Amino acid sequence: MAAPPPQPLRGWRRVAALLWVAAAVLLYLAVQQLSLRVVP
Amino acid sequence: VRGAPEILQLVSAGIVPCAAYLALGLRLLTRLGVETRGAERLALAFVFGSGVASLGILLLRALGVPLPLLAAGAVALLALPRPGRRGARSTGAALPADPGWVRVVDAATLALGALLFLAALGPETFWDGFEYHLPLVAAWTEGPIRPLPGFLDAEFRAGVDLLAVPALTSGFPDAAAAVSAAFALSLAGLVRAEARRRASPAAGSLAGLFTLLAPLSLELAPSTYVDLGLGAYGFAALLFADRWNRGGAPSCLTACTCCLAFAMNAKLHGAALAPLLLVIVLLGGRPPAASRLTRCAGLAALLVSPWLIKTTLSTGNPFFPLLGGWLGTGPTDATTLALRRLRLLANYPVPRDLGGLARYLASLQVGSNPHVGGLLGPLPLALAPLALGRLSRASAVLLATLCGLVVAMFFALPAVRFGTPVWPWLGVAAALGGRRLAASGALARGVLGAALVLALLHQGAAAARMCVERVAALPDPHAYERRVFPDQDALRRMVARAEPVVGIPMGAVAWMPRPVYNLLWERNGELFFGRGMPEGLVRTPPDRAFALLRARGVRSLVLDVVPPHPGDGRVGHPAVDVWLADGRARLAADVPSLPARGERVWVLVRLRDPAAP
Repeated sequence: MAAPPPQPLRGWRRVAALLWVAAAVLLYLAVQQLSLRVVP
Repeated sequence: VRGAPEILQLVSAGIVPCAAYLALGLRLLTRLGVETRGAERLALAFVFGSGVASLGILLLRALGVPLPLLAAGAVALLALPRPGRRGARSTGAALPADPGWVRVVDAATLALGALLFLAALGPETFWDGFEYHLPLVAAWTEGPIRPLPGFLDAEFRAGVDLLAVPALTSGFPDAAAAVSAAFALSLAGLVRAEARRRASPAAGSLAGLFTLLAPLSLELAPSTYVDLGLGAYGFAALLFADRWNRGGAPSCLTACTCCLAFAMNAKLHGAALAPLLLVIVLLGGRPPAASRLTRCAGLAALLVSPWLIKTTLSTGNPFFPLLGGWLGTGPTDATTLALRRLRLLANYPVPRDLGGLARYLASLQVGSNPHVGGLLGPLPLALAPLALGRLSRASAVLLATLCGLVVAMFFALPAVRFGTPVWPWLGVAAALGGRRLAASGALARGVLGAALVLALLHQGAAAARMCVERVAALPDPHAYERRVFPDQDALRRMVARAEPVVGIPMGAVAWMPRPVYNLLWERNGELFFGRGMPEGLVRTPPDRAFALLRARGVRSLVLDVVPPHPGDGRVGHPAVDVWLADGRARLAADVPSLPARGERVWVLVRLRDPAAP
């Protein structure tokens, strides 16, 4: 059975999602590559 | 140094047992009536086949029956379904072919899986692996399954450990971790299939690839750690419970029960899944009849009973170490068990309050703690929240239950590797979130593409580094061991010159050339000795410690001490210094010390036989 079509993100939700994804991935890479200590 | 024929034998020693478990599982899936196809069918076959094979190995090794690779090969040949036979394998009409790039992603996943499998054939250089997982299988391969005094981990569940018995029986301990690599591939296959069903084929294939690329998978797949096995059993149990809630056949509940039992046989804390699964099926919108639940409980009890019997015989408490206050802890000091629980909490040393929980959750993504930080990779927590929206009752119950389990982990078992049944769901949710983002405009697709590429470059480089290093070690594993743990190689050389049994403070038990007794309190369960003792704990008095060591056949100790050695004739260890002073022990002046970790050096201490004149 095919999955139902996704509900696109619109308006402020889309902006928030883009910022969240970009920040989460970039911060992860920064912590891993630069050995930053953000939280224990 | 190994030549090509020896390496080929090693590869076969990794492949043959896994092929046997897979073939057995393919038979079982048909019998159970589990509807599945493609890669998911193979993944589930390995899950079921390994779970049942492990119980068979437990029974046969308890009776002392040797199980060489030849036996595993015979099982593989006998159990492999014949072509042309039809079982309950295919469901529904054929699906349309995947786009070309999705097939490339699947091919990359398979290639990475093959590389991980080869990397797993390198020597065991992961601490718990060489300190107790591998030595446990070795002990139960050399003799029947039996209590092992001074080896506390032999009293816990070892369902996944036992899967390495054929490789060890035939003299290939380095092939033991092949089972972990197979579990990593199974988890990737299961995540891929569930994400394909819930999101899309492309999202599913990417979720499968990134499951295999997750730092946690890369860390556990080449070792004899059993967490990926627990993860595959636990995740499959949760999948079947959820499938039942969404209208699945009654066989889903049977399959769920089997996987739950296998999880409990793999690791005792897998039992935490039992109440969760019950909540999921009772509240998920399709509560099963009491009679069906009773049958499932009976099946679970039947499948875990061999381990209950084994543990009762060796400790007197079928649920050891649980309920120790009522049913006893056998020969194990109750303080050891209490301290081990505290020790697990120390893996993530923050206060157990709401602030600590927030830091724990943040640490999963951006933390630097070696047991928690960043082990899931960047994508699950970046994309999974985007999947949140209107949830079906079944999904809402599943989500709430899994969140409860993560909170419980924070309070009891914070290390990420203990949560392997839960994290694959983050992969599925990330696939859903990613698909939603991809449907939200060109800019969103661009951000998603950039995130995927960055994650792929970062995680792919880490995977390539690890695999290349370990595969290159196949011809000369000792050189690799020496490079990774030089102090443990020096310990091995000291042990080679000592009279067995040799007491060692902790370390690469699996590498040692002669019988050793691990002095670490966490491992031996009967002695409080040496460094690394929890604060405030009273060491075992010297006389009692000496008697215990002699009772375990210990005739020499290799200890890491602060130089200068021999200095004033003391080694800086309270009990050993007492024995050195009263003549029950003496420093071996004829054996030069070797470098240990930091500034310390290894020295050899010989214990006097009280019966000698």
